[in-house]
Amino acid sequence: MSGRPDTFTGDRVFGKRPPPSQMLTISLEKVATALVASLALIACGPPDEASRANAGPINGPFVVSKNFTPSGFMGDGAIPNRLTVGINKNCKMPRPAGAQGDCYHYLYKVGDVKWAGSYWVYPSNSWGTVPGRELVGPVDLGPNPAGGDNLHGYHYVRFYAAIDPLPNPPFVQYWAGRIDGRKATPPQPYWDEGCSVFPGTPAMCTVMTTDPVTGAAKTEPFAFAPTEDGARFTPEWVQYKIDLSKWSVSSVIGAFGFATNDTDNPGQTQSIYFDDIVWE
Amino acid sequence: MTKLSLVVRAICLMLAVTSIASAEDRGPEINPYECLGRYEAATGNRSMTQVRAELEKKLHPLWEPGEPHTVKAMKACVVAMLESRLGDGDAAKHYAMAVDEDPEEPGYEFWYGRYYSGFRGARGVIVESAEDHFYRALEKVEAKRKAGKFREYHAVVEEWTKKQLLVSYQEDGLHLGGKNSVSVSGQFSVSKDTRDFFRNNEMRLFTGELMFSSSPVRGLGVDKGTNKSQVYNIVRAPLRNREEGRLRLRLNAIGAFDFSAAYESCKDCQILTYYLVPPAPYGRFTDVNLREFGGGYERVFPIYPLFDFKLKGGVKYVDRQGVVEFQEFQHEKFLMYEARPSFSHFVGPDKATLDLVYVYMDVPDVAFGVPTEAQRGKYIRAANFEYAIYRPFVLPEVRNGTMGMHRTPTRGWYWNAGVADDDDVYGIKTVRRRDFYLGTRFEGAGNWDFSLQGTLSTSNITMLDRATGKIGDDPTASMTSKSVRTTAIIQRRIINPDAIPGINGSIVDADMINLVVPITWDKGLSGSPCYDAITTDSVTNRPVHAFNSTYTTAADCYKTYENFRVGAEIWSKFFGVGHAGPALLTTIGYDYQYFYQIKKAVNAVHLNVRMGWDWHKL
Repeated sequence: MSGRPDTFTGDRVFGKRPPPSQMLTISLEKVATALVASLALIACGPPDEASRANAGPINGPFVVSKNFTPSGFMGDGAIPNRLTVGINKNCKMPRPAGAQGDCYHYLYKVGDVKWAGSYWVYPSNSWGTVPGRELVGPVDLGPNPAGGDNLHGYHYVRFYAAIDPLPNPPFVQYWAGRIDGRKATPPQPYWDEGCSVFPGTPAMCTVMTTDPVTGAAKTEPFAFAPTEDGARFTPEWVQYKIDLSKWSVSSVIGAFGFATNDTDNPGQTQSIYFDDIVWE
Repeated sequence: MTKLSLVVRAICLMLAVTSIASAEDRGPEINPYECLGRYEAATGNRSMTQVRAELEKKLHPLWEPGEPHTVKAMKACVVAMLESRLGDGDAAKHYAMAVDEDPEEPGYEFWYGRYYSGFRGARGVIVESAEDHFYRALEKVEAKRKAGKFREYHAVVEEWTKKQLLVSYQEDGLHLGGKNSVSVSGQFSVSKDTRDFFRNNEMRLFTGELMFSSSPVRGLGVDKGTNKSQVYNIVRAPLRNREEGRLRLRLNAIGAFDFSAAYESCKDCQILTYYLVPPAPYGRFTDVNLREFGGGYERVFPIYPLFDFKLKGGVKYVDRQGVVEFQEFQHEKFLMYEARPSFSHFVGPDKATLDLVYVYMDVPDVAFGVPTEAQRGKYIRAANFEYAIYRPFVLPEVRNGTMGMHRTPTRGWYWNAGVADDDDVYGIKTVRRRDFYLGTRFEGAGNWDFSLQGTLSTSNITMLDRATGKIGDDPTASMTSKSVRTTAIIQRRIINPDAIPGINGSIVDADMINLVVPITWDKGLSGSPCYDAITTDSVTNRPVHAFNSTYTTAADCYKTYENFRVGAEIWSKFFGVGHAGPALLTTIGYDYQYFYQIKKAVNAVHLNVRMGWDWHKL
């Protein structure tokens, strides 16, 4: 490079960069103020978990979609894209008068298993790994044999259902409760809990079982398992009810579920709508 | 005769040779590089105490009565350089005095500008201050040329000034325009690597995926109906590419405003459903696509005596698709807010820098379902403290064929420590990832740099128990893990950019080529056990474990993805013709990564090209 003074090579100038220095008298107070202001910005993290939800039981009637998530897909539903759900999307219109909560549109493309279903559970995807939601129903069912507060229950679960027209109306089963982690593979520690209540007889709230490992007898809470029901869904909205009058309920993992199969319309895609699913 | 006195005599001789009587009678014309020569003579092989003594001698008195202005300018310049070396706050004042005493000499403007571009600043050059002096230097060079007073050394001043302008305007290699300009730049990255473009910890990612997929909420055990190949397959090096374009509006009085757009794609990147980790039947990886549009602001403020302060922040609109489990085509559209302030202050000849990062992604809550499970959001917070030791060290060195201990200026010995916190909100759950690190980097006097860093990485999930109101680990998917990453980097400067003070004006001027050898080792320290329910086979009556223990036991599954990695990378920087031409930065590398618990080797490659063009000067 022409013209560069040979005394001052680039290496000497830049290769060994002289350290920058600017030591001045500074106000520690000002520095601290600026840093505290910056750190305050940094401190803005996620809101505390406790502020995101209320703890404690659900009291009285409730809308299923506000407390339970349709996350337990079964049968062909366990295979991606066989059973898909649109929530508040592609719903059947008009919705039933006064419908509460989310509406659902299930699309079932039949696979190898030939049936599919979905469970509204709490928390999402739980099959009994953790306890369900505690419930205090609007119906007072009298004293608890174990003592404490009276037993409470619900009259029924009501919901609307419909389908897109098919040659044969499919028979769809539906239910409430019935998740029992003990029967899962591998077994899970929690299940839907309640008492079987028959007028004139003491409520059945516990059951004697045998520990599968030790063989010892033990007493466990009774499983909340109302009888499942079913119907042939039609293209028009029809309201169905699941009778809960013979049950008290204390804790629920699965609030609602349904299953359909391939029998009535082999190979045909089924389009099923649900709306206004309410426990009351 | 000592070496020092020889240097001083040589300088005096040069002063005499280059001195010509000034027409304005401001004194003899003095080569501004005299300033640098005297500075080097006063600092060569000296301790900081000795350099300070030299400064005191030159300051008292600074000028002799009756000295010509040009001599005064040179003396003030020497003092300014010594002050900047020692951390004396009057450096800027003495540079200004040098310019005032010899206002026609472009060299002093250059030194003044270099003070702001090379020494001051917090994670960035104080462009606005530096460019004022550099452009003034160029104007004075032109004035000298027109006045017939252009000397050979003015050509050097001109060339060095243009180089410093290039360096000042490049940000991450993107060449920018001059004062009050608009410029555009582009960046292209492609990789087939286990790590993403932001170098997130892949061992923590894979461990989290394993723990989640094997948890009771996903298939009740990763091995249910499947085999060890799922554990093996979680390690993957997807093909990623990212293109980014940026338009920068720089206004000297205000700062730089950026408008950018980016597209990023990752092929077979995300596990579609953790119930079915590939190669489980119907399980597969899905693509992730990302689009970003946004604006930002950046400026370094010299607010001494407090500190130099860099303000950098912006807002981006993000459209992300493919990261939601089960919903491979679902788009998440949200705003991302980002602030990255930096503070730096000199501590004697050393420099302390504090970097802060805050990122908030306002991911929209899911619009349906259980409200308490629908909340979303992402928060990234980080702080990094760096202490750079710039004082010379006494190091062994061969001089004149003899090994001896010499006080050797280095490019700096850096120590840094920091913490990064990355939190994702999923309803009443929070996924928390943290990094704590301590590292050092020694940039030698020669062409070798070494760095070593240890990083402790943690991960866990906390959630609200809605029955009790207590916050604790997620019992459905306990994903606590702790690992340590040791990183060593050896770097050889094949072409050292600091050794090239000017530019040669060729079509493509290689300004920097570094050979980099990064080595990392990821070691699992602890973690929650993977879910491993034991059932009894109804036929054989033998216990059946839910977790496949081919590679590790369920209790030790946090070790599954331990690995070491070694690679070779070439970092290069090229400048185009002239100081308004394009700048091209490329990084290309290959890494061999071996996950020794699962006996899986990955060959990773990555390429990054960044290019900028000066578009239009306002």
